Amino acid sequence: MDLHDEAKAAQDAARGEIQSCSSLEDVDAVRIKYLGRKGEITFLLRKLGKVPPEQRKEVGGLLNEIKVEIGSLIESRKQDLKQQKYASGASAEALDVTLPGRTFKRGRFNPTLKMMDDLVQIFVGMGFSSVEGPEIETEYNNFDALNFPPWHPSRDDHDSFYVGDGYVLRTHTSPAQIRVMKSQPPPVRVVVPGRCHRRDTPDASHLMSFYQIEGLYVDFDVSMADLKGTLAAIAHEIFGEQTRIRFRPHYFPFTEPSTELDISCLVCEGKGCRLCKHSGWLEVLGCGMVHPNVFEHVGYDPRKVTGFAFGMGVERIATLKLGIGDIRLLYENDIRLLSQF
Amino acid sequence: MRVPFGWLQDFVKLDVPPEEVCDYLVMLGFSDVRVLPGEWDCLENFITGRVIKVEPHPSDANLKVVEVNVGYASLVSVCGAPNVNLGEMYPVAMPGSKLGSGRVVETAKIGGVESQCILCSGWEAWLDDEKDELLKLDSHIAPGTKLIESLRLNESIIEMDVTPNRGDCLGLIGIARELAAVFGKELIIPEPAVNEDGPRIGELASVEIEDTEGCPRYGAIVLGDVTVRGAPAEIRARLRQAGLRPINNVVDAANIVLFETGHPLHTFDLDRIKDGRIIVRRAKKGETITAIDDVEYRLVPDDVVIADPDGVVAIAGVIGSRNSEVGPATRRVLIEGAFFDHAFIWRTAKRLGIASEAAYRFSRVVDVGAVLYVLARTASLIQLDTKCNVSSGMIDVYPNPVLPRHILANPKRVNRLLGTSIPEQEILDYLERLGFMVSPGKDLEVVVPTRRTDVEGEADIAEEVGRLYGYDRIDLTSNHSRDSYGKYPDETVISRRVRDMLIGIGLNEAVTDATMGPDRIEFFGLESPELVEIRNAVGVQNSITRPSLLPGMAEVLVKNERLGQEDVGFFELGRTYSKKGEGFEEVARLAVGISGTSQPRAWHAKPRPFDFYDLKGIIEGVCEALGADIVFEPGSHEKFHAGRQAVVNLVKADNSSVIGYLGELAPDVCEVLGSKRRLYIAEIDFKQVREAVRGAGRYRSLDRYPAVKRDLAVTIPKKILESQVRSVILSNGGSLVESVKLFDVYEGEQIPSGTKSLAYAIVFRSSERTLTEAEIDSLQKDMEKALESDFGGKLRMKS
Ligand SMILES: [Zn+2]
Repeated sequence: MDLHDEAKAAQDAARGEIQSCSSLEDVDAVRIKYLGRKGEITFLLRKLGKVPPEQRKEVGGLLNEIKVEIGSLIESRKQDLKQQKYASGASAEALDVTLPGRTFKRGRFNPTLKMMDDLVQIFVGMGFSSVEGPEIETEYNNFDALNFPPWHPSRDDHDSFYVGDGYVLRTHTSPAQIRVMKSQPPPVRVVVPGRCHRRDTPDASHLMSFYQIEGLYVDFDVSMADLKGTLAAIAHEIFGEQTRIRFRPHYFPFTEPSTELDISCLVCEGKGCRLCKHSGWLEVLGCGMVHPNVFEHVGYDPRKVTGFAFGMGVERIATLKLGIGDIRLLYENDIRLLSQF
Repeated sequence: MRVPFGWLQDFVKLDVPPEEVCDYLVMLGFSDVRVLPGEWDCLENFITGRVIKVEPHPSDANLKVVEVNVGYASLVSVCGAPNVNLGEMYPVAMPGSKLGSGRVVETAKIGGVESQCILCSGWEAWLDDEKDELLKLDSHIAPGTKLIESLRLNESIIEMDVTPNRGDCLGLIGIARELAAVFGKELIIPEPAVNEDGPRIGELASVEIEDTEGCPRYGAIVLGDVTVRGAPAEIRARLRQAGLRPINNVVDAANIVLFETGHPLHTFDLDRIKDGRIIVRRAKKGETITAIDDVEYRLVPDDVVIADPDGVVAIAGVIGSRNSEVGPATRRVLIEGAFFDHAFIWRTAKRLGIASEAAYRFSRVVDVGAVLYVLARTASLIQLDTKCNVSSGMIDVYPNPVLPRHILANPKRVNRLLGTSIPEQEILDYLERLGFMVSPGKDLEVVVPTRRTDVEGEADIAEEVGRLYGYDRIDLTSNHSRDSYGKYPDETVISRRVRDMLIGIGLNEAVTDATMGPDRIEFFGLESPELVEIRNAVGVQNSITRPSLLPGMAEVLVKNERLGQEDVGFFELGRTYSKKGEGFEEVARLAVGISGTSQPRAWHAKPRPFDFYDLKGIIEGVCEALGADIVFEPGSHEKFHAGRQAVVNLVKADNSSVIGYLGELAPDVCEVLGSKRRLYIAEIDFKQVREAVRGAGRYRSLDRYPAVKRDLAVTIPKKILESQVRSVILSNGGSLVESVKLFDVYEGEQIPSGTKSLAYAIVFRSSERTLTEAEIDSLQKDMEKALESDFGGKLRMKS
């Protein structure tokens, strides 16, 4: 057999062997057998020197062709085998993708405090700064400076908690108005969120402790129209653009004129139901123009500055928004209830 | 305040229905305004009937057989009343109706005579307490008319709240004035027509005011030859519509005027006032009075009383006495019209717990200027009814007459405050409609009627103008021109971050009571001289402001355990309260509580109970995230498990301080609380943590010299704390130790009993050069030696 025939024979043998390989290891063995350092094709190529010069070119060409062909056959066989292996593996490793994922735990905020955060955030967005004040307040800040007359019923032992001479558990967050105005010149634009205490018998709409947000805006030219514009925007932000609102006159010692803001009933949309006592309206907050006497108490000149103040019960808004009928549920600390929100 | 709609029309003629009037009242400043549902279903089967024949009963001398025309028929009634008169009109109860006495009317034979209906007394007709006489009705009404129509009980009643500053609207005329102003209608005030045909007042009675502070004005008028009896049916019906109980014609007349004007009056039997001498003074200490409610009240010198020379005859403005009240035997009546200081009346009524119509109105300030009018009006009503005589002249002791307030109101400023541009003439018009007298000028000069004590300055004038102009007509603007942005205080930002983080790891937010009782304080060992006690707590269980969040948190854990929750995790970020020096201190504290199963049953994991290290990890995580350094050491809190509690120390630049504790509650504590679980609770002073918060550090290069990692395991006596081992490693490793991580704790058969093995992964690194193996070997040797000498530690393995 001459080199030419040997090459052809090796070519045939290799083709067959590659085809019958069933694993990557087999393929590798075939590669070494033919193309390795001591492989058959390598061996034949070394013998090329002994071929007569006139045939050398032809045989050399053939050998190289065979080498390239075997290389590519090996490569493609390898790919086939890899593909087969992956395909069978994937089905073996298949998962039930509908099993529930590994959950992570998530707690819940107290609904009142969450509502308070949301409300304060709206006010901060409107340019009000959030500040806090003490819950154990002086009677002066809680009542006198806010223009409560000495005989006013809320000063009574039946209505407010007293903790010492001249100190009361604040009945509203309004005394923080006094603290803020005493500490800085106008303009002032603040909201005061916080816990307040009244000597109420707890029932579906009263608690001994509750949260309130007080707001105050004092400047050299603040009007009741500004009060209406600001609080209408807030009410729409909280209860939705479709909610109708009205301001009606009311009375508070520390504002004049005073008003209360009502929204159209969230349940009956104004037609009348039990929630709104058949009036179609729900009261949501009290507000008004800061009383000149309050300005005098903090050393502002009531002839120069004007301002508005408002106060809202956070529980009231939370229960209305969440549809909770009994305010006490907000403080049950019951996971079943908290998980709903 | 009940506003009978028909009665209201006596003072202002309205041409809109009551429902619409309600809307106007709301926009005038009255709250909870509504039309009440009908209250007289009980009178459904009562009609009017005229007596057309009266005959004696054949067998009972006390009864009469009466024939009554009820319009569509004549009915027979057997009647025992003394005042059944031919031609008179009375209420007739038809069979099936229930009487005020409780009896149900039916056709029945009485002594052989069939009685087809019942003629009614005021009591039987549900109107009042008059049981003996039939209720005489206006005889002009057609027989067979429904009783509720004939007595106008079918007229609507508007109910509403009057704000405490508007005492002038606690009478119908005040409300009518508001409505007249808003509708531009005329206000009709009845003119009293008194025939002063009696003796001169000075011959009948006298008044001395000793306490002009409590009683700035006292007026009186005297009636003679009075016949005290039931008032006419229409008057009684009116009082019922007002929510008042008819008594007799004298008291009822005073109540009618009270309800019209809002000004309370009082009536005395003048013959029971010694020498006709009224003395207004303060009560003497220990003085008592038996009031018309038959209760004996003990008075104090803060109470203003009406007395005669023998003693107290009334508590001024609050309640009268039994021994001077007007009754059937009364012939001469002294009517009191006075003005008492509202603060005195309020305090006295509150202290004595008396909620009378008079005290309610005097507490809210009545019109000092109305005294003579209300006296004359009352006298005229009684005179009209009983033909009594009326004294000539009235007593009016009024030493310091109150002058109407003058206010300067600048229309520009009024408009600036309201954000409106109401023309000056319109402002003036609104004020005049409300009864203010106004002189135009650069500033309007406004004279405020004495009834409007609430109007004190320009802002009040603005409110009056705004109310009539309509709050709904004021624009919506927002003047946000000046300081431009809102901020949160740092404390809020940090609290919010921590709350978000804790929610994120599955804890729920608790809000617990701000107060607790001494039993909780004692049970949790929280006694301290700094406790803040509430002087007037509602109950003892709410008498102390909380010094700690621990009791509340324990309660929340147990409650949810009882509700069957497996995985219970809560935090509370709230204030605690204490005395500090002369004042008080409020500190924000963070409590975390966990109990039950950390990992609930799931297909991919086994349940695992919460343990101490879950709790500790939370506290460490919070402090680490905020950049506050804390260290733990074993604690000795009595209420916690002796071996499972730690004290939390906050490490600061120059010192460290205890900021809280954490651990497992002692088993006996859990038992008392009713828990069957292990309860883990931590509480730390969040204020101090907040103050220790560092901002983010500066960037450290990531291109660093290579690290050398070594594992080190040491077997030591069990009682040695991990923190001690760690500190030996750190102190020997010096600045080259980058991190020390405990990756295994072993106790068991492989090592001697009474020992434990701790395994650490230690990373060494220098910021200046590449470390050599030899260098690290020597450091590690030092550590091992120290561990051995300090704790008798044995190396278990190393690599
Ligand atoms: Zn509704």
